[in-house]
Amino acid sequence: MAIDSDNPFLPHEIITNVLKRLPVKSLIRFLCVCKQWKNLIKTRSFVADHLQHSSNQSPFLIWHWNDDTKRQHLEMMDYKSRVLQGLPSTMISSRACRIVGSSNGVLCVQIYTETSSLPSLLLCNPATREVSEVPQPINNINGEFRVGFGFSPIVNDYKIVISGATLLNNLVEVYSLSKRSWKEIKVGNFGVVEFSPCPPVTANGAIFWSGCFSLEGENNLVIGGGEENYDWVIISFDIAMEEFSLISLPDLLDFGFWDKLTVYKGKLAILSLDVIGHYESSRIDLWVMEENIGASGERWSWSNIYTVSTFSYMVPCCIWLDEIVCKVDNIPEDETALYILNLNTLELKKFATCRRGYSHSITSTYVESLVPVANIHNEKADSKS
Amino acid sequence: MSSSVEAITVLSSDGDEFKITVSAAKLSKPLNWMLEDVCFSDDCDEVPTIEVNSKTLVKVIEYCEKHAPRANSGASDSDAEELKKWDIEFMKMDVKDILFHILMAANYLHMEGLYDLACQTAADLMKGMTVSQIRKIFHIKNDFSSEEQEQLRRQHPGCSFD
Repeated sequence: MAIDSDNPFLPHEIITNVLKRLPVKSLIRFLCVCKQWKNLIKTRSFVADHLQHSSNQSPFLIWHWNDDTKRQHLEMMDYKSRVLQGLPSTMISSRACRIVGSSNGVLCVQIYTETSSLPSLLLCNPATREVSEVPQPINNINGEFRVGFGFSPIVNDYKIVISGATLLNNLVEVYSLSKRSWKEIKVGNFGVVEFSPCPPVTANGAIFWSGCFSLEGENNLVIGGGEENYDWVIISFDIAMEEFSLISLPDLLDFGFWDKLTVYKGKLAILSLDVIGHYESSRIDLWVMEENIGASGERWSWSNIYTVSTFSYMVPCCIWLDEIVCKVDNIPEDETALYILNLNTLELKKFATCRRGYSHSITSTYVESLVPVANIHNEKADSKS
Repeated sequence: MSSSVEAITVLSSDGDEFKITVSAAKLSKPLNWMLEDVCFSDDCDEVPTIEVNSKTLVKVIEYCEKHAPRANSGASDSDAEELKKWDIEFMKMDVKDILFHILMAANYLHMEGLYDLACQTAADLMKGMTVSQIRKIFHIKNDFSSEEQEQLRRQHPGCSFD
């Protein structure tokens, strides 16, 4: 860079500090400014600085849905402007799919396939438009499977965990994004534990699913099958240690199918739903889990921090900062509407609709990042230049 | 330092004299260290030089004087709102002409608040710019060969050389 008397030479430190505040779209464009900028934008430390800055901003809401013409819709909403903005959905898949998880700007997407024993997974970064196909796990899973995705700052790695619908030894594999390979892991003996089909959430280096724990030992679990021979539980997977554990739900909460795991202020939380009357309105409770260290003996404790009564019947989906994302089925119109409900002001705003009954997924923790998901090709190209 | 001193005099790199109140000078670590130095006692007439040009120093002092009352005593939410609006007005300046100098000065004077504000202002101005505009304001020459440009375009369809 030339030094100019009217235009000071900005040191590297200042350039970095300015560039880390730019949206990814601008940074991708500025790769072409000069070699020095290209190399800076691609360094690990810059990617980390940019991510840290981005994580301090309000997260985006990402909403994906499949419509009846088999078209995919992928949309993103900014917390400030509240405008839904379309993303190229072909980026994730042209087939029906759902978002399994979101961490540091990376989405893990599960594509529905005819043969359910072969999971088809993608990792994508919507900001850089980068997509990578995840290789097949080592073993075939015969029957239904569950997938989780998350990041652990301890090992600085993103991992995907895949398991059969029941948590059993020899049926769980973990994929590490840094190693780019799958491995089988032991799960320990928890009795009969089954994952619910709801997508998991990730927070603090762990992935959490709701699930059921059989009270009758080896007997098969029949969730929702009349006799209550099971207890709801949270299945937690420590991404760094690659270990499962079970977490009890709040004593005062009668967990059910409509209750959702979510993340509130970086902590695991539950949005529970109580139907009032004959589906006239809802009561939504927000429970937040604290991880205790020693003292009380219990490793986890729950507190009910919000109770909201709504004017009509709505089902909570997730928390987005201080708002609850809810869905309402409109049967006469055959559509599902999505609303945001402010926890403090109780203001309610509709932001999207989709055809009723079609699969959709929402993530409320998306932040823009430069985190690479796949650039094996790019790395090779870079080493030459 | 003498507690009776309420304002100090500093010289810009162009040799002009500027007055800055003690409370405002405290926003900068290096200026604060100077304050603790003996040369601000009443019987000392040596005027320290700040390696910032006059045009920039005027703006830096204006920022310090505005932010000092809040930094020293804390402020209510309405004050914070007002200050935010003031910052936006204050930052309406030409990138090449002064913003880059403010960035350098805030970094040199260890003024975290002004540095963050200037970095964010620069980023907001840059985000919509084309590559040629960026090269122009930063005085950068395109050092990619045409093969390298082609390769970058293939890898990142979002990048552009114009």
